[in-house]
Amino acid sequence: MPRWLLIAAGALVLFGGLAVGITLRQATAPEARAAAAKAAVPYKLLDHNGRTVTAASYRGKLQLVFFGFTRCPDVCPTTMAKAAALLKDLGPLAGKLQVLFVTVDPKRDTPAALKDYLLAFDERIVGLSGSEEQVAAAAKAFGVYFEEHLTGFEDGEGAPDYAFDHSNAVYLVDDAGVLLRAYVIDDVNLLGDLRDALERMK
Amino acid sequence: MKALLLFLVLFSNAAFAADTIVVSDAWLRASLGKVPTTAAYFKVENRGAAPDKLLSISTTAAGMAHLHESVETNGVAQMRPVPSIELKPGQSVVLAPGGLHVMVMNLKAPLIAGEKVPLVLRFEKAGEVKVEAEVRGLK
Repeated sequence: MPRWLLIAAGALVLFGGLAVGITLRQATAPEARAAAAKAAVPYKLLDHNGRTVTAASYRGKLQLVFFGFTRCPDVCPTTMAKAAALLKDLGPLAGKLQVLFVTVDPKRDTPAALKDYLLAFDERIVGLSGSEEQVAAAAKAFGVYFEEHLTGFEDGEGAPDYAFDHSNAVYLVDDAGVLLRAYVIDDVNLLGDLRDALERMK
Repeated sequence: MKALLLFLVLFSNAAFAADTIVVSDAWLRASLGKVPTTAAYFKVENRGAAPDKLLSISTTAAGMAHLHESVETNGVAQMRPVPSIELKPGQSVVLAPGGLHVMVMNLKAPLIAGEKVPLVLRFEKAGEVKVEAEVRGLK
């Protein structure tokens, strides 16, 4: 076979392959994106009763998820008090809504401590903790930012106290575990949106 | 006579404080489980003719109390220490959930709704102003 023919054949295979690759990519990309968008938000944590949970554990319910820490003196209790008020305002519809408080401070917020803390707001709210790696992975899955920093004070035991900067949003997850969107707790549309979504589920 | 003098001194002090710095609606959030941290809130008004400055706060109920502010930047909640709060003549400042607050740390005992907790506010000019803060639950 002449040398030029070999080169031409090689080029044909190469370009043909590339063309097929490009075509395949164009065909699969939107589907792959859609599939990824429909996947349950990938978290694996420990609930406040010591049970390992994922987004699938709350299938059939909407999830409203907040990331905070129990020693947060202002923003977290204010947000959770408003979440508890939402549950009350939703009445019987609240039976299909799971409010979740994910701690970004698993070192201090054990499942038992979380349960104790959340009882002050509403017994229906469930606290999620886990290893630091699990919490970091969950935060990443939701697109939550958090960062630990020293407060410059000592805690009750004389150890350096620390606190967190953290995303202040609440995240709405649908009944299949898919992350829908973030809200600020003060959003005037939140209650109505929840009510609409919960009524559609009936 | 001694008693009368003492009365006058006490009364005039109280009257002086009432005329310049007025602290109202002071409350603390009741303890949430065994968490040793909470927050205190109040309204402070400068009724005097000169500016004043709230410098610090203390309470016998907790190891530490510090002025803080919750701020939100691009969806991230942060807490910033507030060195002092300036009060111009006639100005009032409200500490309320989600903004300015007193971070109360290392509580000596859990705070139960309905209890009264003494707060001592220290001002640059008015000196110490004592108030009774009410412990409020969430429900």
